[in-house]
Amino acid sequence: MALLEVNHITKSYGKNKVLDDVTFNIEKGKIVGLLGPNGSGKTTLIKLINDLLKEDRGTIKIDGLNKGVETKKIVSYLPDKNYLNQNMTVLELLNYFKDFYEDFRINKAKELINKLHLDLNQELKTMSKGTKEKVQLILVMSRKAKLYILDEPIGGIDPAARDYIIDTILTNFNDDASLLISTHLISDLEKVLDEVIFLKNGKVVRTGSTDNIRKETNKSINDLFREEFKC
Amino acid sequence: MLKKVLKYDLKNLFKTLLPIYLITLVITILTIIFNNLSDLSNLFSTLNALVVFAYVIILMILLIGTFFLNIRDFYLDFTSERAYLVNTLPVKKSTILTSKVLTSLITAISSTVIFMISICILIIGNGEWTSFTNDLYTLFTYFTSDAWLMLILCIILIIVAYLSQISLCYLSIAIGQLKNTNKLAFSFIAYIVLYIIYEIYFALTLSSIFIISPDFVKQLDATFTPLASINLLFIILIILILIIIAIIMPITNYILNRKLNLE
Repeated sequence: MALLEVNHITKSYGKNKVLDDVTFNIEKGKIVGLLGPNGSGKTTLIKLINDLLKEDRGTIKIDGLNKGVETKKIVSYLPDKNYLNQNMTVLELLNYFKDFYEDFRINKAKELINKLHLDLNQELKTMSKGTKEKVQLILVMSRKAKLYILDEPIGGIDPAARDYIIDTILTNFNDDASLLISTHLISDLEKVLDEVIFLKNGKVVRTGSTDNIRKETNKSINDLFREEFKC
Repeated sequence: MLKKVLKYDLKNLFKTLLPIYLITLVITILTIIFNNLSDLSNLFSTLNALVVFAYVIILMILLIGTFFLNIRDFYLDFTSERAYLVNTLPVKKSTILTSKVLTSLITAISSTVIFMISICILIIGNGEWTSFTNDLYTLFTYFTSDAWLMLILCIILIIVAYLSQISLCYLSIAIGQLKNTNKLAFSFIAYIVLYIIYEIYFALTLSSIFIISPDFVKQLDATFTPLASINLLFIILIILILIIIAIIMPITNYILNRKLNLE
């Protein structure tokens, strides 16, 4: 059984069809790149998986379960925006996650926060945008979840911070967990992706293992992406 | 889970409310000081007027602000970036909703208590505490069982009316978030429409009593004392408000559960 099953998902905003009959599965232990240019429907799809939007048609199952409280227990989600309460201190946020997520490893999170030399009593609103994003990532990756969903974790980040983020992601998730990561910055992530899903105008235009795709096309995923989504 | 959600909801609101409570108490004490000094010079008299003005403003912020703070918190939790965290917690929407209602009730009660403490400090500061308590004691000695019941029913009526207004605002926000743009404006329009329906509901249900029984008031006069009649009216109103809350809350829960729209 696949960990994430997305079946014939369709979603429109008014007359604008954002996702059109999207179908794919993610197996356990895979790192999957959800790739597509801006406006291709990546964020909408991720919101649907996280139950923040309702699909017009189709079904989404996580570990065989319909979306709900039980699936939220096993999914660790990083949105593409600052979603934490800005008035809370880092320590309050750690306790918040510990209170609500049984799989939250607070000591792991504290260790990562210490490495950044952050004060646990500092309020989020006093931090720079980049630091806030790192704190968010630490919170999300400190969960021992079955499925991690990261929406543009390296979008708009300087190259040095990008390395930190990619390293934090890769060193903090379980081998048996899966990772769905949306991005349009493929060169930084290509080497770690097991599979890719190309999304174009709300449709899945290519899916498969990165090795197979590279073999079949004789191109890197980055080159293929540039070719597929050429303006 | 309700306990945990409630803990963070209360913590979040009291971060804003506690400074307001502190300011209220400080301004209350300043009001007493400047009131006692106002006869000494024109400067103190002017300052006294300013402090009294500030006192009135802070009391308004205390009572009305608490209500709006709760509404704002609910709005942010279901439409802003914060919604991405709140709505991905492994918690039922009904639990979040219950916590919001309880938080609004607790904060309303705490603000009312601060309001009353402030009034008491003012009375003590003006040296009228003994006469005030004596007057209150005298008043209560005249209270019959019907009057005590009326006082209790009046408090219950205020609480349920407050809850119904909060619930109405929460439903308006739940409807407003269905729109992809202008969620706040749409919530406001939804509130106006819902409020009209709310008023029609009371007008229709109360007038239906007189349609069913045209001699209702006469029968009340013949059967009950005036206070007992008012109590009966209060009980009817409380039941009507509870019915509307029982209708509003499941609809709000349904929308947030099945139609959440974080576009």
